Amino acid sequence: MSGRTLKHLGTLILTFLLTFCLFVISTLCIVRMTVMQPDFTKLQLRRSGYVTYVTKSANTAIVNLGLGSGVPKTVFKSVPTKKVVTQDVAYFVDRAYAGAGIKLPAPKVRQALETKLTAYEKKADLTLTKAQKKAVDQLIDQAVNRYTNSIQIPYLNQIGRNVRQVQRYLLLTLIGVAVLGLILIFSLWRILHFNHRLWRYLAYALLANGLMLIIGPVALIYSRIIPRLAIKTQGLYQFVTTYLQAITWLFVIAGLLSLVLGLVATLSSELKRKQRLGG
Amino acid sequence: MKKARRFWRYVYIPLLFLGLGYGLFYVAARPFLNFISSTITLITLDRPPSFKTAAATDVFKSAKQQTAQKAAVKQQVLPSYGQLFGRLQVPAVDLQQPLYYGDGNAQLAKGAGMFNGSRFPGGAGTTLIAGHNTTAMAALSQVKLGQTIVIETNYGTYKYEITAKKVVAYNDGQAFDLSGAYKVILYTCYPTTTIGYTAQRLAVYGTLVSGPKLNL
Repeated sequence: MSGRTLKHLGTLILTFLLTFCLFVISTLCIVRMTVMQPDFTKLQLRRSGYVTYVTKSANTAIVNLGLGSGVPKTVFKSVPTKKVVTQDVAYFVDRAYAGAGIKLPAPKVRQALETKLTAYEKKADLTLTKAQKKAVDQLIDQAVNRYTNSIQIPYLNQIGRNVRQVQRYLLLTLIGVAVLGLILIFSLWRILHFNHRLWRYLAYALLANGLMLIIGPVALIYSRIIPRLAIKTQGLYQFVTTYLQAITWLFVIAGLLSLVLGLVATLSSELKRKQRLGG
Repeated sequence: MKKARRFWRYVYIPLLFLGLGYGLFYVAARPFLNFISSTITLITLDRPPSFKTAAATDVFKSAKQQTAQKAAVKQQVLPSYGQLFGRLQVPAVDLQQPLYYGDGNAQLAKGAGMFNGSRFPGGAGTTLIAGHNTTAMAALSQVKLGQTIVIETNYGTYKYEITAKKVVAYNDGQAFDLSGAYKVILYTCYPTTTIGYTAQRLAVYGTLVSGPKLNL
């Protein structure tokens, strides 16, 4: 094998490693922007209409509990409101990502239940004994429990704790891979110098990275695995599928961006080559 | 020629890197592929889930009512859990409620619910029917002995005479004994005008007077 061929082979290997670095950097950046961010989770909750579903199911659970305790449907029909649910869901997500793993206090829901029950007692002219007052307190506690169980997204507390544990390592890995990428680019520069060939090999890396970022997620979208997830409750199903599809599409967008940058690098290479040959 | 070769390099080299990259992933993930594949099979369905609640298939309205003394079993349309299958009435106190098979929250929110561990009306056993004291059974406390309970189903109309009315504990096994033949028990929370969880139930007992007996 001639020296020139070896040099080309070596350059290609470095370029392939650079492709890998770019892929890892892109993936880690997307993970940092999505899975690690409570704002991304809150955005997907809004987009999926999770709050609407949860409000309805929490209301049904509370009304049914009330019916079983002699409280007419109309008393609790507007508990909880969508506004309160939105606030509590956001609070829950923030606390989950903070690693707090809390039981939602839901003070506004408790207050609404107490107010409405008191109003109903007055309207129905009910005088409660001590034992009945205790039973009413139990009813409110159970209603708040049902509400918080409706709100709390399963496993989000655990995910929040895992995110906090992994966050630092992810950042270190990102920095490490970025440094490796810079070293590879520097190595290519040393071999190829700052001419059209460097841009050409950068173009190879960017185009390959773009393809790698696009092909996998497109295959996932085409396989329709995400819409077929076996989740029983509609609200949670909508949220999880919206969340996963958003991440998948982010990969595709990142891939397209990399392809565009690759095309720009290609054009730069060709222009520089033309300039060099043209004089 | 050189230009063409240069152009094709921009195509096949990235494709080569794509193949190598995914090839490396495959090699690295190969020991876990079976696990990944079986996990995916476990957590996915054949098609996206449907959340459309089946319209409460009105078994009660869809089949013809039997007026014959003996209902052939094949003509009785047995309901699924949660389905509307009849109507409960106590005409003397203006109690009229849809009757569902099952006594869960969803059924009791809409009317009266038959405990699915009890016998269907007309069966050789006791039919146990529940309702909330603020909705389906709001008028139950007003019934008197000797009055009539009417249960209409898709397979026959049953009339029961009220033979007893008493306040019992929620866990009183004797009060809710289902072994008596051709009987019905209607019950609700007691006191009917209080709020909060109560440990007592108002139970009204009836004995079958007319209606086709089932061979079930």
